Amino acid sequence: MRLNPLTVKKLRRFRSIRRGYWSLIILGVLFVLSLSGELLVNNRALFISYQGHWHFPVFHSGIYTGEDFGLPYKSEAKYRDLKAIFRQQDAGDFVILPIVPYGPLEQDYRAGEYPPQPPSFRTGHYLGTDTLARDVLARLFYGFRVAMLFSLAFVAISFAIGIVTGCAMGYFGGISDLLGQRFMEIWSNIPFLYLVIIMRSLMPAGAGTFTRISSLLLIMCAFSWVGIAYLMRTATYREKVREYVDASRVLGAGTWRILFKHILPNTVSIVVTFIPFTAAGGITALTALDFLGFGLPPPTPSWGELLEQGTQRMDAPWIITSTFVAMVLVLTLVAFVGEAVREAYDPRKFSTYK
Amino acid sequence: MKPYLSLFSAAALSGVLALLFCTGCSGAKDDAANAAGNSPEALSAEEQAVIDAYYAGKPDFFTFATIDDLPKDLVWEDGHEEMPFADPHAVRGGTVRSFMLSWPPTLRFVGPDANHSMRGVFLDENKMSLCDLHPITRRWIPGLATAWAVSKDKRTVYYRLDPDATYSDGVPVNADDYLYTFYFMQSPCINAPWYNNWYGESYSNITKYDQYTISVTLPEAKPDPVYYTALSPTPAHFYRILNDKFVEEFQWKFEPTTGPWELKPENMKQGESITVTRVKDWWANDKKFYAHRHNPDRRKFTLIRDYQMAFEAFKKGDIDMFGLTLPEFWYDGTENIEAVKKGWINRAVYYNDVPQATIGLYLNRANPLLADKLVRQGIQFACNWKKVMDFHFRGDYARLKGEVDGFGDFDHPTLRARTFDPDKARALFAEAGFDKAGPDGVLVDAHGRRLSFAVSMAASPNTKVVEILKQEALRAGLEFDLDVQDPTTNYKKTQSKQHDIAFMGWNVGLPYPRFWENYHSVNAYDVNGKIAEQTNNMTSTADPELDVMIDKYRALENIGDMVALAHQIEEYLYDEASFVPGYKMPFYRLGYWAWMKFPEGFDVPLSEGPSQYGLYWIDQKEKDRVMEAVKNGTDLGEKTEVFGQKPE
Repeated sequence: MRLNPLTVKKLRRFRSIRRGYWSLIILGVLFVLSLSGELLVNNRALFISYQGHWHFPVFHSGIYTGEDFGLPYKSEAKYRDLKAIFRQQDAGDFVILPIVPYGPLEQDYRAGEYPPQPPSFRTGHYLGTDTLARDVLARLFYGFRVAMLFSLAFVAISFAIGIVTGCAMGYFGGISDLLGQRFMEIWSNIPFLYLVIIMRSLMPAGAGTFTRISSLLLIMCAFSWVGIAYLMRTATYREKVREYVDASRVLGAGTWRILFKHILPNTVSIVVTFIPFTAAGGITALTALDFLGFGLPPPTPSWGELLEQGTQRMDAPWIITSTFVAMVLVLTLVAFVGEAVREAYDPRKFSTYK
Repeated sequence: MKPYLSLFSAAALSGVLALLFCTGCSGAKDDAANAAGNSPEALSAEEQAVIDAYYAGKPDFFTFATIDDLPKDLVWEDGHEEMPFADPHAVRGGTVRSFMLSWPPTLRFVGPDANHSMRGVFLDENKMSLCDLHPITRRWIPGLATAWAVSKDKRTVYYRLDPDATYSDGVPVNADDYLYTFYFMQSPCINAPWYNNWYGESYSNITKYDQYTISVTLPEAKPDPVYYTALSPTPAHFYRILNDKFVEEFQWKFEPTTGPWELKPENMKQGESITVTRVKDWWANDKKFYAHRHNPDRRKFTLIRDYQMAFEAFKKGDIDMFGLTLPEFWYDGTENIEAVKKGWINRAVYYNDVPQATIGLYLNRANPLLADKLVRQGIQFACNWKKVMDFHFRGDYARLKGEVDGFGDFDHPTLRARTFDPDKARALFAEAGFDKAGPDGVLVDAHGRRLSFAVSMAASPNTKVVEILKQEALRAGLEFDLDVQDPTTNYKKTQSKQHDIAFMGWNVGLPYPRFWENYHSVNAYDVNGKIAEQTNNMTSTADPELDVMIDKYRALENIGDMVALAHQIEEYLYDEASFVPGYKMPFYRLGYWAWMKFPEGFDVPLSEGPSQYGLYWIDQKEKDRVMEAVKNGTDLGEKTEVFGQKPE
């Protein structure tokens, strides 16, 4: 693939900004790790050798019940117990568990111990447990994945809507632009939080987790595209009167070709710099909504819910501390990336901040 | 857990609707009459004429008789054989400092927004009624009446009023105030349809014999009609003629009270605190059952909008008493802090004996899967309440016995809620057709339907209860999906019966369990066969056989027969398994600074908190001593006491 020399220049410039570049790499690695999280943080075993047969519970589409391993129950096998049992029997069977052998939803109640419990190497809860005896590390880890996926989807959808609307308004202009602007003015005055609350209250009791999360996502997107659309509208206005647009029109290019082949590549750089900041905004918005109890449906692992628990339980500082640190870390990384992107797209090479 | 509905919340919820239907109120022309509403002046002749006209319009309801019309064969009771329960060592005086989480939206007793969390302190606990239950023996003791007599047909109760009784503004209470209660409560001007309905339908007559003798009659006989007829008076000289401005006019006016506390306008510091003061020379000061009670001079409620912050204020000594019933406050919050270790703050567990709210899972039989009795019985076995008790409540709370718990003889002698048993649950689910496990371990039937239900509940710390049940239910192949909403939305949803399973509790009241509200078919479906909304029948139970029993139960007048039939109904309900009994709190726990003093037995069995019967007092000398100890770090000795013991 041959890249536009300008793009290549921008990429090179981005690479030269070490802080942003490395932030992107760290963030990328973390994200990839979280996508394959089931192999690292999970209460399902990676590998089981039982009576000469091999099992891979993590990759199994169904569940293995206790009965499958000679235990007297029909629900899913408890792999940590199984490991202890196999070790005791010493019959050559063994279980390999992930590094953190706890799932994000699993409550690990132990006799005589009341949650939240402080971090402990003995139990394997490296960041302690929350008020429901769930592993804080596992919740943070999967909470990160949820937040990242959510905010990436959030960015993709709101940018898609914003870019298309903005381009169309700027290019066609006239009455459609006028009406579009008025619509956006009205639209952006609708209080977003009320809509989230109303949506939640209208959700039927039987709606699944996926429906709930995606409707939240759609509502958030529905209110975030306006800013992008305004930017794209102005940029398109500016570009459409340039000679190269006229030239391609003379050559017989259709509206869509002009819009997507000529104008868009020249305007999109304006909004690209906004992507990291919008992503960070998506993460914080989701966390804030969760904190208020209007975000992800329980028991979905979420940072906002952890923060909320942490503020309620100041006597269990490991909850608030680890969540806070994780959040600051991720948001700082995203901000570094954003700063670098912005600088890479800046035509003035030697700008200084004052 | 606070999703309970009291009499007052029902009233307030319906109160909003009344705004639209305020007909029949007199217009603003009565303003002149109302302008005098603040001064304790008697009603003018014109005002009295308006009220008399109202009484005259309902001659069957309001009767004016003479003392000679009083039946001669009445057996008067006055509760003289009961013993006082307050501690004679109690000392008057001092200020007890407390907090409130939100500013009350109104001081009105009825109407829009009147159902706020502070109304108990300012209004309900402070309004005396004709008779009271003795909090230990549960027999009647005098309140505003000195004696009472029940008619032979158990429909009418006669009361002799205490001539000493006065309102906090000094105006004496007499028979007219009880008649006025009906004028007031039946008026559409108060915007409270629930009260309109209750005072219109639940009584059939009130008779005035003389200034200090009345009788109140019910439409049907009741085993103990005093429960229903022990009314509270309404100060006619305060409200006068009602008009359609009632809601705004009385928004911030404190009704003169017959109880020990009054709220003076100068003691309301907007956005800061509200202080109630003891009524000067309260009329009941030396009455047998009211002496040595409600001892502080002032009760100050500071506005602290966050529970955690209030707890911090308590630990600092800015608040005198703090409820520690929740495990996180009792254990993590106070177990290991210096103030408790050194005895500056003392703690107490008081096992009380009050009817238990029916907290648990209500399975909606309108759901096609839950219509199957086998599924419902399976769910009973799939709920691991023991784990909830052991871990979430740290073994302190107890399992609810069933639909009826805490009613003495009415409790079933042998039936107990089913305990967790995944194998039994799976067997019942299999019998209902759910015999295969899906890829996630949730059972499916031959039609591919998953054994999965949404559990609707109000957002609260008790979400955790359902999360524990959810994890454990999966062991029986059953899935619970959490449907957590803010309390108002959840209330609306469950009241329109849109839930599969509702996790909630109904507050129950003495004297005996009621089944009609929760299980009669008229509260499940209306005459057109549509789901009946706004009723307590959360399980959509509609069994003709059960209806017959409930109707019969309601008509009984003899306690022994009622108990026997109640047990039959309880057995029937146990078999139907539509309600999964949850937990009960057989105690309250309190932390208090060492200068707060309590009677020897701490409190009385019918009490749900120290302020309800007001038996505590403040020891000023002790306060100086404790403050000194705090300053010097002196150890006074840890004191954590348990009064009574956990029931079975």
